[in-house]
Amino acid sequence: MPGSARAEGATAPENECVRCHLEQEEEDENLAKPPKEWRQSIHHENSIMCNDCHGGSPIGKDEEEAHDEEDAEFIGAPADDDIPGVCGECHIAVHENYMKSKHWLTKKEKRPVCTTCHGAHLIKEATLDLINEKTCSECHKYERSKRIKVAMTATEDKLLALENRIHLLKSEGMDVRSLDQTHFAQRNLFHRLSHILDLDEVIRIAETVGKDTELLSNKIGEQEGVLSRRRLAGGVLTAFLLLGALGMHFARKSLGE
Amino acid sequence: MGKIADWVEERVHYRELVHSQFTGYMVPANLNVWYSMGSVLLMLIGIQFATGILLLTHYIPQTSHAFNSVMDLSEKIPFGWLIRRIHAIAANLFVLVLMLHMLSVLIMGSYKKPRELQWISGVVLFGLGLFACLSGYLLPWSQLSYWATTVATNSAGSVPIIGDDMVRWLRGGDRVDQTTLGRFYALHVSVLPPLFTFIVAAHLFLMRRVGISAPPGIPKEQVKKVPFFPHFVLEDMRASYFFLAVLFVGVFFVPQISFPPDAMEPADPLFTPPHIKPEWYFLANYQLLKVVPNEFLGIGLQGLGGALLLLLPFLDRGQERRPLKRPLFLAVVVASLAGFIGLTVWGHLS
Amino acid sequence: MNRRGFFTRLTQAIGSLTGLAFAAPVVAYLFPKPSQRGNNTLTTLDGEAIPAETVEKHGARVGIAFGEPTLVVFSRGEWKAFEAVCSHLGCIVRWQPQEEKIVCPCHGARFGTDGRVVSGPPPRPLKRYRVEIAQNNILLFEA
Repeated sequence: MPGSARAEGATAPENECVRCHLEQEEEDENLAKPPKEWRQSIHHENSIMCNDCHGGSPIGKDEEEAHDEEDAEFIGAPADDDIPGVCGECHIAVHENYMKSKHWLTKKEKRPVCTTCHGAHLIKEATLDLINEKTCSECHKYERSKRIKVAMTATEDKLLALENRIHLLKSEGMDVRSLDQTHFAQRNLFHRLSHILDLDEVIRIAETVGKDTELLSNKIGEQEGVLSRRRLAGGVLTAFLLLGALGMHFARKSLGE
Repeated sequence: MGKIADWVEERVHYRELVHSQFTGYMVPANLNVWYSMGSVLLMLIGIQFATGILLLTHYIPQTSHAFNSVMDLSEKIPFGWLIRRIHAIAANLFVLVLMLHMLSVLIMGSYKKPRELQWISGVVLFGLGLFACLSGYLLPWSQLSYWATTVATNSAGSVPIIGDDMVRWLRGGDRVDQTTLGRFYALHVSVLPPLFTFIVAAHLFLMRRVGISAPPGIPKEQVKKVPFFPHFVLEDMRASYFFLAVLFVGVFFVPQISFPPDAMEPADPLFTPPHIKPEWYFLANYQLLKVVPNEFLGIGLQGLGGALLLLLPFLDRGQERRPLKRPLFLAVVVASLAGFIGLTVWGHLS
Repeated sequence: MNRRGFFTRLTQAIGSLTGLAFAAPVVAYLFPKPSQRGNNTLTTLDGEAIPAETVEKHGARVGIAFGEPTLVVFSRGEWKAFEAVCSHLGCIVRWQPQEEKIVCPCHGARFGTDGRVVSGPPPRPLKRYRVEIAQNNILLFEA
């Protein structure tokens, strides 16, 4: 499902979890913080609700029913090592690559999980800015991360530019279903790369995706050409019709009363 | 050519008819541009019929195929996109011009005796037009169509006691689904068009039978007359060309009127897109329902407004037609218009 | 030309141009798709290849080849193929195993196994194809 369309609005429905947690802000700030952060997140934009990750019942009539571990399958805050499994329920390809990466396979006592870089509730649409000196150097030297980031930047920029062009076409009422699908596939292939953490592999796939984006760019260009030709024809037709109205006006005038 | 015409003339005597209905049919010379709205509407109906039939050749009225059938039609069939956009944008223009038509009749007092039937048939056509828009809206089975129809049919639920049954009856079930699509489709393509044709014919017949009204002010006997053809036809053509130009500005440069992003996504009954709103011509009603605290009161107000509009010629029986001599009526019209526009803008912004 | 005559011409010209501008897209919209030659494998209407063994079992089968209805016959251990559209009025012909003739259901025309008209109204014989079987697929070639 190409995601861009769903991300356009910012108000998704809210539920009982959000309502109740926010109500208790005065007693305990920590209870209200997650829904407040979530409201700013991409998960909110796409109507991914509390219970989609934490379990529990969003229509439970009281605290007990909402947090029932048996009936409502409430899991609460998952342990660090369980987090990739929770996120991976939806982000399947990323999960798959992450499980093969040094981030997961590291022998260190505390391994970085999804939330280490992406945050938990205030999750934004992922960009390459997530690879930065501050975050990466908490555990290791930034140099290698930086090389991966550089290798990905050019292609990422291309993909973003293409996304904007597709969006523009769509807002002009053009049928972008196939463009959207191709772009979504390329973007997906590329984004899960960031979780492999293998520089050679990143460079190789960035190159193939880079070539694919050229093809997509040409296709988008064709559609843009169609759009501007249609506009030209529309302009000519409109001008003709207005001149027609003018002609009728003078013809009527020539008849007199 | 001439010989064929003579041959037909000898048998049908059509020239007499042409003379009495066109070249010899005299209309007041001071008819203003507002009097051309009727023929603009007639042209738009013609466009809707023609494009509608063309769309019908590819449309599949089934939930699993409807969306793709209209998208494929606009992508793969030559000029399919054009035909589809004309049909959608012309529907908007139709409602707009119909409102202008009614407004001028209101202000010039043309609905008064002996033109009561003319007015009533016009109000019925207005209702049918909105109904045609509503039923056609669902057919592409996009996110926009699905949710706009869900919201629109839901508002019937505020009628007390029978409300829920009415919603079920409109939809043909609990939710908007294949049954709803089926009945809206049947209405849109096989019930409303002939009904339209019939009432438009009656409307035109009444106009000719009773005689076209003239702008108020000058007594009828003193008004100069001009032949309907070619004099007034040229004025109609001028207005029609102007509105055709407006139509194509919409079609080529502002297609978003009818095709916002939600119209480009297939219907998903499990996901309501944010900011779902009815078309502009329903926005005022929608906003009224939101503002009035009691749902029934909101629906009641609208019902009352509709009834007043329909029965207007019987409520306002005065002879005077000049708007400035009818300050109370003019004030009511201006206030209602301001209210309508205000609610529409409010609905759009909120 | 006087003033009035000029404007009559002008309105006529505007009208005709408008008519053309509106008619052109409609004609294009209703224009038939270019006919597709299709390939030489005998398939069902949905484009699935018809296995040779099913024809062997039943003796004959009508499928699609080169984009047109095509009759394939397996009789006395021999493969034969014909266009299946009767040259008379376009009905689809059938194989009649008892007579070893091809029969048209509409007007009772009969064609021999060489495609020639034996009896009935068709003006032309049925076009024949050469058959090859490859990997259980039925492939047709211009005879």
